[in-house]
Amino acid sequence: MKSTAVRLFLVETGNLYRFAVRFFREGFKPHYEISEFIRQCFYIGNRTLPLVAITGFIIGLVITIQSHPSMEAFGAESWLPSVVSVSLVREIVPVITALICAGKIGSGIGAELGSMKVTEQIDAMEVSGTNPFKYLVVTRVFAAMLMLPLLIILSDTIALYGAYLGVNMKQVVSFHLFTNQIFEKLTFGDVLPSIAKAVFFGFAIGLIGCYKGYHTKNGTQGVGMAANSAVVAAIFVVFIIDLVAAQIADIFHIT
Amino acid sequence: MRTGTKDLPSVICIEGLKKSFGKNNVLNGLNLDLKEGENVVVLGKSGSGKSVLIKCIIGLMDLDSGNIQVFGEDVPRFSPSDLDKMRTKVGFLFQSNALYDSMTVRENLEFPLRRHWIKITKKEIDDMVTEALTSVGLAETIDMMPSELSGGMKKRIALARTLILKPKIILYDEPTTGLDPITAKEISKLMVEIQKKYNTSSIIISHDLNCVKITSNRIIMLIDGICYATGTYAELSMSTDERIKQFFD
Amino acid sequence: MKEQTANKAKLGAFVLIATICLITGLYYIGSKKNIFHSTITVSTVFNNVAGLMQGNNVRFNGINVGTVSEVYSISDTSIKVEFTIGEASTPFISKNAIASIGTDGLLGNKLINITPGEGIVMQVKEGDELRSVNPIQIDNALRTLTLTNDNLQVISENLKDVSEQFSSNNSLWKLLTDTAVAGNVRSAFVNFKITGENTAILTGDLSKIAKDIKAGKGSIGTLLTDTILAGKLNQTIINVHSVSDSLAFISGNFSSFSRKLNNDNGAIATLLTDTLFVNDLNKSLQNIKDGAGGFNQNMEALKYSWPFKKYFRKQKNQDHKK
Repeated sequence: MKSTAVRLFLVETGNLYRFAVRFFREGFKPHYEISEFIRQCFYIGNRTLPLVAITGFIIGLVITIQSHPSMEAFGAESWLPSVVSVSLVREIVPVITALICAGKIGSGIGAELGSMKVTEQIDAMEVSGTNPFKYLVVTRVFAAMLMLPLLIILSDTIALYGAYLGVNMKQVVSFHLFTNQIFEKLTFGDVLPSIAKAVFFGFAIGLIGCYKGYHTKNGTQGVGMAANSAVVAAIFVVFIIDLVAAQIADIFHIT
Repeated sequence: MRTGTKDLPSVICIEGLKKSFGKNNVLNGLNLDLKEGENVVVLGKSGSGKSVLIKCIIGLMDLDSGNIQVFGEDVPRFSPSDLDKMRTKVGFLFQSNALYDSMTVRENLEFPLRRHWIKITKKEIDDMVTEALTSVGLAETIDMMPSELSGGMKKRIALARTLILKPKIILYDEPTTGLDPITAKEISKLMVEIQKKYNTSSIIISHDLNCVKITSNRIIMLIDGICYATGTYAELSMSTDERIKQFFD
Repeated sequence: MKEQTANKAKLGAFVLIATICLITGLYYIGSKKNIFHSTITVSTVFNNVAGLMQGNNVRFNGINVGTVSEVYSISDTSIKVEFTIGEASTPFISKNAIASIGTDGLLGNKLINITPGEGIVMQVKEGDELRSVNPIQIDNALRTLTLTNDNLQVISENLKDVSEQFSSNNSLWKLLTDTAVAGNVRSAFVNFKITGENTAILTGDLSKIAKDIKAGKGSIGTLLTDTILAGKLNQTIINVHSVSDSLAFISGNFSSFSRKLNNDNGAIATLLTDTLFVNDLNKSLQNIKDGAGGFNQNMEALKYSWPFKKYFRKQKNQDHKK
C-alpha cells in the first residue's frame, strides 16, 4: 500500500517534469498566442490584485504592530521601519502573495483546464488546428511568471504603506523619514532576488495548475480533485522554492 | 444516394486497426471502408471502442497496429502539419459539444479559422461564420455565450463550428446523446440536410435507433473490437443473430 | 470586443503601475548607494579593514557621500579600498583628508569615515589616494579594556584592604583622629624650629665676638682685665651647653617620634603629604645643622686664640685634677 503511494508520487513527479520539459520545448517555438496571453495576464494579474493588495496591507500593518514590542524592548524603536521593510520585501510579502496566488490562480487554472479536458474542449482545440498546449498551458504559465513579480511589487508597496501606518500607531514618523529609513536599509540584494524568486513561484503555480488540469480524469469529480491537488502541490512547491532560493542567496552572499 | 455507393471511391479506409489500453483490447483488427457521400453508423455497446475508433481517425489517439487511410494517405505517418491539414477536411462533432465556455458563439466559430496558415480577411471570416450559423438555423445567437444556450442549440452551434471549414468528412460522436427525443430527431434531420447540402461523408457513432434510422446508409456492428456485421438498417433490424438483435429490441 | 479592450487597458494600467513602483523603488535604493549620480573613485590603503565590504557607506564628517566599491589585498600587510564619492561632495574633500574605518553605532555596519586634513589643499580628484588611519579594532579595544578592568579590580581590592585596616587598626585611626597627639607633634616641631633658630642666633653672636678678637678690637689688657667680659663669656658658654642639652633632648624625642611613625603602617606618608609641614621640618633640620657646624667651628677657633689658651688650659687642668 505504502509502496504504491510512493510510486504514485514518483510517477507524478516524473510526469510533471516531462510536462515542464514540454513547456520549455513548445513555449519558445513561434506562433505565439499573444492575445490569449494578454487575456490570461488580465485574469491572473488584475483579478488577483484586490485580494493580494488587501492581504499585503494587512500583513505590513500586522508585522509592524507585532514587531513593535520586541524592538521597543531592545530600545531599537527607530529601527522598526528598516527592520520591518527588509523582512517584508525579502520574505513575507513574496511568500504570502505566492500562497494566495497558489490558492486563487492554481485552483482557477486547475479547474478551468480540468473542465475543458472532461468536456473535450482540449481535444476540440487540437482538432481545430490550435495546439492546446501552447494555447492553454504556455500562455497561462508565462502569464503567471510575468504577473507574480508584478503582483509582488504592488503588494510590497502596499505592505510598506501598511507598515508606515503601523509604525505611526505607536510613534510619530513622517512619511519622508519612513521612506528614507527603508531605502537606506533596503538594497538591490533584497529586492531583486525576491522578484527573481517570484518568477519561479509564478512558474510553479502556473505549471502545476496546468498539469493537474490538463491531466484530469474521471469526469466532473476529477475537476474538483484537479483543482484541489493543484493548490496543495503549488503551495508545497512554493515553500520548496523559497527554501532553495534562500540557500542560493546565501551561497552567493546576496544579502 | 442510398444505393450504388460501391462504385464510388472510398475516403476512409481502415485495415486491421488494433488499439488496447493496458490489457484491455478495445479494437481488435477492425476493418472499415467509408465511400464518398456515405453515412456509416457505428453501433456498439458503451466501452466497445466506438469513440476510440473515430479519435484514431482524427489523430487524437495513436493506434497500436493496422492502418488508417484518409483520402488515400496514411494517418499514422502524418507529420503534425499534415495532420492539421487533414483536420480541415475532416470535421469532428464531440459528444459533449466541446464549446469553449469562455468565448462567445462567434469566437467559438472563428476558432478553427485561426490557423496561422489560413489567410483570410475579417470580412470573409464574418461571412463564413454567418453562413455556418444560418445552415444550422441559429444566426441570431452569434453574440451569446454557450452557457446561455439550450442543449439542442449547443449541439447545433457545435455542428456549425464543425461545418465552418466545409469538411468533406464529418465524424459524429454520439450526436443525439443527452437530448430529448424531439430535439434528437431535429438534429438527426439536420445531419442529413447538411450531408446533402455539402455532399459530405460521415461516420456516426450512436445507439439512438431513431437517429440511426434517419441518418444511416449503412450500419457497422462493432462487437469484440471487430466489425461483427454490416448492412443497412432494414437488413440488420431483421437479423436473427442474438448479438445484433439486442440492439434493435 | 469592447469589454476586451477595457480589460487590456486595465491590464496595461496594472503593469504600468507595478513597473513604476519597481523602478521608483530601485531608483531610491540606487540613489542611496550613489549609483545614478556622477561619482569619482578614490582609494586608500589600510593594514586591516576590519570586515569592510563592498557597498559599505563612506561618510565625510558624518554625512553619507559614497560607497565602497572594491576591497582587495595588494600585499601581505596592506589592503586597498576603492570607494566612490558623489561629485556634489568632492569640493569639500581635500587631498590631505584622512580616511579611517569606523562602525555605524556600536555593532552596526563598517564604514569609512573621511575627516578633513589641516590646512587648505586642493580638492580630491579621480584616482587620488587618501591617507589612512588604521582602525581601532573593537576587539583590541576590548582587550585593553579588560586589562584596565583587571588593574582597576586590583586597585579597588587594595583600596578595600586599606579601608578595612583603617576601620580595624585602632592605633592608626587614633593617631589620625587624636587631635591632641597631632597638636603635640606640631608643637614639638615648632619648638624644634625655635631652638634651631636660637642656636643660630647664639652662634652668630659667638662668631661676632671671635671675629672682633681676631680683628684686634680693643686692647689685650682690657680684654684680660675685663672680668665682666670673661663672666659674660662664661655665661655664654653655659648657655651654649644648656642649648645643646635641650637640643639633644628634643632630638631624642624626635627620633622616638619618628620611630613611632615608621612603625605605624605608612602613616608617615600621610603626614608627609602635608608639604608645609615638610618644608618647616627641612628648614629646621638645616638650621640645626648650620648652627651646630658654626658652633663647633667657633669653639675650635677659641681654643687656639691665645687670650683663651690659659682659660682652656685651666679647664684641662681642672679636668685632670678631677
